[in-house]
Amino acid sequence: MNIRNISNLNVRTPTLRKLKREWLVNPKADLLSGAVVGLARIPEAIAFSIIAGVDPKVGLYASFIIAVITAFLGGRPGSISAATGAMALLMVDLVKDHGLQYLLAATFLTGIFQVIFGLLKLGRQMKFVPRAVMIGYINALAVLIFLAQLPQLTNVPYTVYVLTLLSLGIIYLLPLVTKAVPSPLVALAVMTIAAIALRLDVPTVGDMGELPTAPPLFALPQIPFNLETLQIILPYSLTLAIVGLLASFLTASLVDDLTDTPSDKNQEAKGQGIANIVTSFFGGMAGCGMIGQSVINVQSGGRGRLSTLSAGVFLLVAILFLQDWVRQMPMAALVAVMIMVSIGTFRWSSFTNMRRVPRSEVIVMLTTMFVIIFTRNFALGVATGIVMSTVFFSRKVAKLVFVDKVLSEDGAHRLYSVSGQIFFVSRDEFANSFNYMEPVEQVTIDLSHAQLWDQGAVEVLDKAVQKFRRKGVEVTVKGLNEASSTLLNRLATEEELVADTHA
Amino acid sequence: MKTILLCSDGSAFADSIYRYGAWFARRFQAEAKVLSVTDIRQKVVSTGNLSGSIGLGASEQLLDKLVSLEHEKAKLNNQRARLILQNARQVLKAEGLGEVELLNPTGFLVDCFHDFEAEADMVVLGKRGEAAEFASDHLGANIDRIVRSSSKPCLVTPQTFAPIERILLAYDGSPTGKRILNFLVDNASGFKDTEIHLLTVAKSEADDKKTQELAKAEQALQSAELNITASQLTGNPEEVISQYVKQHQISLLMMGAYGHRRIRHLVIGSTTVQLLRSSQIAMLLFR
Repeated sequence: MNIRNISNLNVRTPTLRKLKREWLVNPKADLLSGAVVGLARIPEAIAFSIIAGVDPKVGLYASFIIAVITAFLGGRPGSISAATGAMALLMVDLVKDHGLQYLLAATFLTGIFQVIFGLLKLGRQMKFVPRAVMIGYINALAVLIFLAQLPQLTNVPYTVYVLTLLSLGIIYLLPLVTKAVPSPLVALAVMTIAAIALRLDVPTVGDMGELPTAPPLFALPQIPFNLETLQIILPYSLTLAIVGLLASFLTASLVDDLTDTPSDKNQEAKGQGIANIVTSFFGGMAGCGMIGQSVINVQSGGRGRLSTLSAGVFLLVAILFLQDWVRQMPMAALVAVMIMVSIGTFRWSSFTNMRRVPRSEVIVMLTTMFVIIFTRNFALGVATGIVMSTVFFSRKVAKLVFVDKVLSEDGAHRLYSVSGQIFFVSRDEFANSFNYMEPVEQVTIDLSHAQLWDQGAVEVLDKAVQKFRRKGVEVTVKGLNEASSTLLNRLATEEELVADTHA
Repeated sequence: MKTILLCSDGSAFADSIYRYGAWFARRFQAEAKVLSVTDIRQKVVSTGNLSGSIGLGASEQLLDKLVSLEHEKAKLNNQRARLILQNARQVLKAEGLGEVELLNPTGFLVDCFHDFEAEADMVVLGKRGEAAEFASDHLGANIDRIVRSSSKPCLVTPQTFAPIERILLAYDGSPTGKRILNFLVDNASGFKDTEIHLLTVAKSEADDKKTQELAKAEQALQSAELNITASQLTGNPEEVISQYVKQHQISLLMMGAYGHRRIRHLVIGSTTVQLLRSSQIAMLLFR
């Protein structure tokens, strides 16, 4: 019996069929989860606008536009993109010092950078970001979203605490009773009605700034088009672009894992870029992939592009119809929703697993996390994490250098069999493994299982050969693999070494 | 004819698909391939959780849950596919076929069908599938699309097998009609012991062109030493053909599929679909 299992049918199928599959794979569930996510994003978009220091409408418009554009152009069907905490945290200073219009310009430039990164196929370079760094990033994001809620909880009437706790209670306990209704929305509705009915004097969303009253309109950012403007927005845009892509790629990989389907990272970069460019013309702030909301989307059954699109459309429709209610929504309920998002985003297992994970990775994770939390700079934290991982990794590899020493029976010939990676970190161990004082006539260095990687390695081998020769010992080097011998021919000074490798 | 592709989904039609397939495979010493597609839509499992609330370790929990849900579902699907294919092999073996290739891709039948159809010379599929087993006057979800897009002759089988003794060729002189003639002539050796009825339906008695075409066709088939009865009738093709089928106890109807333009098909439905729906016998359709 010859049963052929052919699972990878995507490869040759025409674009149209692929489109159909990405859009219409399960329309009913997509629309339903889109509604759940779209409504759940209202409080988040408002909260992130508040973090960035802009009117809630800026985040709400961005969440609508980015969702709609990435639904069509993103590389990961089913992932949710919108105004996010990671991005909002990066724009605080820009908004404070220069205002909203410069943020819009920076958003535009961010999009340009991301499109360029996508065209340069930067998605592949994601492999250089180790898992520990990613987890540190996610944890830091969760902590920062939580910390950003604290201002709403300090110097406020005690009713705010009561409302927050009640909201959290509804959010976490209602699903135990029924999973058919989104519990965060129930919490928001109950708290809003309670606040209005009981005439509670608590801060509301309306106090935080302007809400949208109409669909977004096209407008160019009101900034002077000169070099000075560019100097202001360029550093912000570059960081926003990198952090945004990182978050989007992370979200994409997470959804890849959850749904067991592949994504196109370069397309995702281009999609995010175009979404940010368009957003900037409609008065929205820069955004990226959202980990928490994408998890909620998949949990609610969303898989296709339709879920992303409907999430955006539901958000706008809901905010336009419900704005009178949204305005009176107590901030306490919003804070509760954001606390839930931060808890849901946090990788709890990275702490429960700590004993089982290699210690170096735990250190990388924690360093990444704390650098981001203290500097509020995601790019810096990730860079630190990558450098640390690289150092740890090279140290581990350097330890894997073994030198096997065999003396011939007559005691005149010593064979050194070297295996492992010889490079700048491992060269000392390599050099110390030779015994120059030994009274032998001949020494053979067998490098069949070794690889010379850099100038340092060649230098050490050179020196070893020189030292043996000074002691009157004949040296042969054998078994160099091709890459090593090319390097040796280019760099070695010891003539015989060069000649030997040619033979 | 070298390869016959049998499309099965394990529905009540499967048995007759195998038997018809086997009949042709025996006649033409062709190899039979059984295709059973595990529908990819079944892969989208639902957690049924619309709470929108995520707690500690949400993504890990969700991943675990999805993996276990999909695991169960996929296991059932795989088991089902294996059973379908095993059953196919048994039936085909009992029908006297030796080598049977079994194919079990995952995806949509309509999508991956063409990859497999390309290697086949004839396709056998049931009138309806698992999704519509008992809706007796309706067609299955895939059949129309497959027959419409396939470039190979498609045998659409009814629920029960009946030995093929009398074949009716509904001939209209069109290029497709000529291809059916060629098919019969090329494979004449397999149809030696079957009665072949050649029928042309004309709009009026005095349709000289149709009469001439019919005569030519009859000649072509006779020279291939086939047992031919030719006739020309007038009226509405659907009615005339189905009446003829009943009258002469035809067991296989051969005709061109979808001769009319798309517009007409949209408005009133084509002759092919009408006949597919109403007929209780196997139909071999050509594009």
